[in-house]
Amino acid sequence: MPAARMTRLVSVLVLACLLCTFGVAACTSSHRDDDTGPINFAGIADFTDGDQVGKAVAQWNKVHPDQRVTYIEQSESSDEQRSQLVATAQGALDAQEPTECYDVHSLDVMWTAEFAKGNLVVPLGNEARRDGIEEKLFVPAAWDSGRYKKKQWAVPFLINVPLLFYRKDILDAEKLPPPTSLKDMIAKITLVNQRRAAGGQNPIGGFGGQFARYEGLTVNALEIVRALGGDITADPHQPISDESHVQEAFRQLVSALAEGGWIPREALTYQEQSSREAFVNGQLLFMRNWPYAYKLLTAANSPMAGKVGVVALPWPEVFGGHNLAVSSCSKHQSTAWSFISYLTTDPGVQSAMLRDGGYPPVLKAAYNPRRDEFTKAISQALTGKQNAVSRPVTPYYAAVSDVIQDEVSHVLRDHLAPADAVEHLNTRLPPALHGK
Amino acid sequence: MRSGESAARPGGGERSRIQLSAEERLDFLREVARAYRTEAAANIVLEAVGIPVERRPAWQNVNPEQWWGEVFQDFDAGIVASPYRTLMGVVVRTHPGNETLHRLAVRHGVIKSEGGDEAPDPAGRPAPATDPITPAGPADATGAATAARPDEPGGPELDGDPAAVTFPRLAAEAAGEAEPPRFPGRPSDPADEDDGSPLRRWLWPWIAPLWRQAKKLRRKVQKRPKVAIAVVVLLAISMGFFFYYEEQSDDRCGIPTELVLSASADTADLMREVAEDFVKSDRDHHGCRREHIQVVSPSVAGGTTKALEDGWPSEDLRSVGPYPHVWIPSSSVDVNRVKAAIGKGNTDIPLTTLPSVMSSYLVLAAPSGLAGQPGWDDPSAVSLAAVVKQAENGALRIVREGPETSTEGLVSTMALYQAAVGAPLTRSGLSGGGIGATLHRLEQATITSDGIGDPERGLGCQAATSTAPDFKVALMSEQAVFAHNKTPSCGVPSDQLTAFYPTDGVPLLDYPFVMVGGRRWGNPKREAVARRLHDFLELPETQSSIAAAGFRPAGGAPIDLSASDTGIQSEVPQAKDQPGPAETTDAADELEKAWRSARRQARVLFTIDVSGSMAVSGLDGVTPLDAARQAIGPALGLVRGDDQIGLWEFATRLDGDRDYVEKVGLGTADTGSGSRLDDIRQALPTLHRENGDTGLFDTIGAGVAALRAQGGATTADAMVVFTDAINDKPGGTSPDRLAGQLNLPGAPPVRVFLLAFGEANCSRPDLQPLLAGGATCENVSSTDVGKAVERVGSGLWGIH
Repeated sequence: MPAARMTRLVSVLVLACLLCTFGVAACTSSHRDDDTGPINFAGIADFTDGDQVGKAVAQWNKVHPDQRVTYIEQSESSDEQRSQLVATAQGALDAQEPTECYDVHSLDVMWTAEFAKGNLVVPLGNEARRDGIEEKLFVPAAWDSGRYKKKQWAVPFLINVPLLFYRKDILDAEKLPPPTSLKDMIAKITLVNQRRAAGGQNPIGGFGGQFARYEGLTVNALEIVRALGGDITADPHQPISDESHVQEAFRQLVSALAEGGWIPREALTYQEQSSREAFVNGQLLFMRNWPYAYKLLTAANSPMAGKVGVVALPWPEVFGGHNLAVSSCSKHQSTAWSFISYLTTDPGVQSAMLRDGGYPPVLKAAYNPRRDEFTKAISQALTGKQNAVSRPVTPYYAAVSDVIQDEVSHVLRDHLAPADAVEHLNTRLPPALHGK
Repeated sequence: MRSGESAARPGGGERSRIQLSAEERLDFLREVARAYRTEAAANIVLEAVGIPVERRPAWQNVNPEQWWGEVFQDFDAGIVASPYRTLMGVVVRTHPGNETLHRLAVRHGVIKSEGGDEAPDPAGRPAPATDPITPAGPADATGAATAARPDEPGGPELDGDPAAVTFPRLAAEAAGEAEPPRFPGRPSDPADEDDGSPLRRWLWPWIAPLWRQAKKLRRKVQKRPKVAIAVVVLLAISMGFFFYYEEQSDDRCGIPTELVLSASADTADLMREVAEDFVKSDRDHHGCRREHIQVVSPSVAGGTTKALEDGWPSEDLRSVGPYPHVWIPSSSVDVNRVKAAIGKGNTDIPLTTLPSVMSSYLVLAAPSGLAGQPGWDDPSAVSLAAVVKQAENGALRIVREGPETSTEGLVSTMALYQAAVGAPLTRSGLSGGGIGATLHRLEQATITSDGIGDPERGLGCQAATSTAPDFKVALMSEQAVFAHNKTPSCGVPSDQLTAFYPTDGVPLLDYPFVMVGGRRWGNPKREAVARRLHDFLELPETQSSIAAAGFRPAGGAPIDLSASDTGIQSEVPQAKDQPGPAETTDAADELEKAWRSARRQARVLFTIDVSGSMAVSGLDGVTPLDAARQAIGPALGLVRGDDQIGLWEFATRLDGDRDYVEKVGLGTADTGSGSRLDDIRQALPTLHRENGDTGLFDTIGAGVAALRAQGGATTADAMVVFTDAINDKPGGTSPDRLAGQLNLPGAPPVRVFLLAFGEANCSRPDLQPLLAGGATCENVSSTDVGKAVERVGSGLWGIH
């Protein structure tokens, strides 16, 4: 065959291959309009009063019987939830035969990078925009939490801001206002217990945060360390800023957990629910928790009804929240995007999340100038951006949090000196931040 | 058909053209293909003929004949003038011994025959008149001599010895001084079979096209060097940017494979540490983590086992947690239970058990205040049966976890029950008569701890903080003793613990390593991670870490203890007659039922008929009333301090309108002087026959109501009625109504036991509705009423 003819043939073949490649890519990123059907929704554990997430799903199923959503509530522990979602998604990606697939993931705001990098979820495309999901509808900080490498991968569903709950009845009886800083809170705990001792009463536990060895410990540790002048993971290339302040923060936490300290030792086992239970049982004067706890504490049948006050956390706070994303393994991505649009943009659903779950709305339009104590606390928390503590945005966040949990847990249990913990964090965090 | 040079040649004459017949052309083609069967050789010849490089066919997926066939077609098309003549002149001189070529050359006047005559045409055609070709000079190396020179019939002339001058390589080949150029064709080409290694022959068809293209590209580059340099520079710059960006990128590493490891509460911390060590040691060549291991512990007692037995229901992930991919329970008992569920078809989760990597014995842990006292001075000389007796006598209390709290609790309960009963426990053994009462006594002497996750309320702290006269000994793992002694965490001052290894058997917790697979979450990558983790756990360095945490190697092997006051022994204890995991599994379900039943608090109302008929002596001279009083004494031995008891006597209207008198009201039995047990013993002799009728049914109704007023699902409520089973109170409640009261929907159940003196009194017609409603009746006499009371005890605390 003449050389020229051969060259032309090769060129045609190469061009055809390129067209096929781009064509396949185009085909996989867009979906046919008939890509609908039943889906699985791996959702956050429903802490709302009256199971509002479950009710929203039931309402969807009523209207869309041929696109039924199966709501699979995940573990209450965020670490365990993440493991389940990642393992299932990886299994679906690698499987050569049909396996379990969660079509819609409810992702903690810190997991966007990991799921995006791992190709476990698909980015928003025209499908999502056709379903009414638009950036301009959402609170900017919430929208940004679903971005990674200039692409939008997830849609905001729930925002979480930490609040400080307190025994209003006790503080009022002592004529004390709510604390305005961490040090103020510690001082008030000491004062109240001194007065109780003088009056022949048993002391009350001071502050209950989430100090069990899980993601909650990372969040609480970051907040308190920042409140005491230090910072962890502020800069990926310098994970500990001002080592002396971080060491001092650790020392103060160890002291707080000792006999007579301002944190009861039981707090080393607390997660969100157990700390709330301790507060409800009258074991705590102050509690740091998410807004969902307010609804449960102030419900009519709650033992704490009428006795609880709430303010924005009076020290630097870590924002949380959950976004919704469509899984790469989903065979019904049209339904998945429509369902996400329903949960995130439907005013009724978002109102229920606020009313019965205490979750601040993700929609800008849902904010109105209500002035009750709870809404004031949330608004203060959301607008106090200068107080926000950032967790590192990295696809390897799980490993980073593991390192922090490991070292802080050892310090709090007196298994490790604060100085050694800081040294370990300096050594272990940089590789963890890069997936090593 | 004849083929020949068809193109007109300027200045060319008839005699420069060769007219080959079809047969001649074919012969010529074959011989040329044989003579020049490689591309290199062929190209040299075509150079001489004057065919330009770009006009030559590509040597791709063709054999030499096919290739030369294409060349001949080009000849026929007039690619150059007189190509056949020129080619023939070349080939016949380089292959003078080739008869076919020689014949053709002579015939067509390319060369003279040796005889001076031209070779005859095999077909008999006259030889064309031609002049012999004159050898020309060397071919133009650049191939520029493509156009026929005006003074030539066509193509370069050959001059001198064509092989030596024009084709020195060919001459050298002919002389055997050089290797012919190699151009392997297809692997099936016989000419190539002895060229190069088999690997090269296998690879060459794939590389050859690229090789040829590269050579063509090289020629093009040689023509346009500046363009080529610019392209190379651009590529280099792009690659440089790419690698620089990659180097600077913070997330080059991929997302690690996720693996969930479910560990028992006592191993979770250790597993986290070794898992982190494993991940660090298992990085890829870029230093990236290959896996992320999430260590979880069951959130509810027995959670992992139960969830696996149920197929790990998706709808309950909130309570059961994430699917485990690796499971390390305390004992193979749990694994066998899941496998039994698989065998029954309740679940399809496949389990693969790899060799265990650690173990620990179940021991009796005594506080230092007790250890060293008589009977507790030798850790190898204490029997569990003797300790159980001491507990039942109130000398101490045994603390352990319940069988539904943990596997350790299940194994502990098995050991305790075996020690109490004095025989290996099997499924049938747990349902035998009298066992229930024995186990109830035992449970009253032990404390079941459910303090998961709270070390201050754990077994070790309960034992370590106990003092005389209320010592507690804990049935716990040897590793837990080690951990307590290393770092006491009871919140208050506490003693060291000493491990005692019972002479009647020391169960072993074998911590099996189980891979959990299945279609839902089986994954080859994840399985590979699990296997690498297992291999890591078996490494000597990891085994040292495991030993440092107080665990033995697999199989209960001796442990290397670096410290001296660990409270445990390093050598292997004597283990006798302990049920293995399989036997324990077999009886596990029945054991749990027996435990639940034995643990229930008994509330028993003894009710004695004191009507006239109960004072009639039998042949042995004993009245039913006397027999009842005598039988109640042993019955009181069935109850323990936490149980509740009471004593009524009844006839008709003994207390106003009431048929019964409360001799001792229902309340906690307690033990010792001044207890309710004593009150009852003292009240019994005061029971006297009363004349009159018997309000049996009304009294039963009142007794059931009194028991229900304070009873519930956690208590075993019973009314034991000693009577002659005659109800002759006029106007009292009917048996049907009483039966309805016994089976009141939603009301706590109350067992009614009638011990009826007299033959066949249980067959009385008026009793039948009551018996149909669930009451039990046994005909007794003064001689066998005691045994009947024992059977009542089994009914109260036996397996339901």
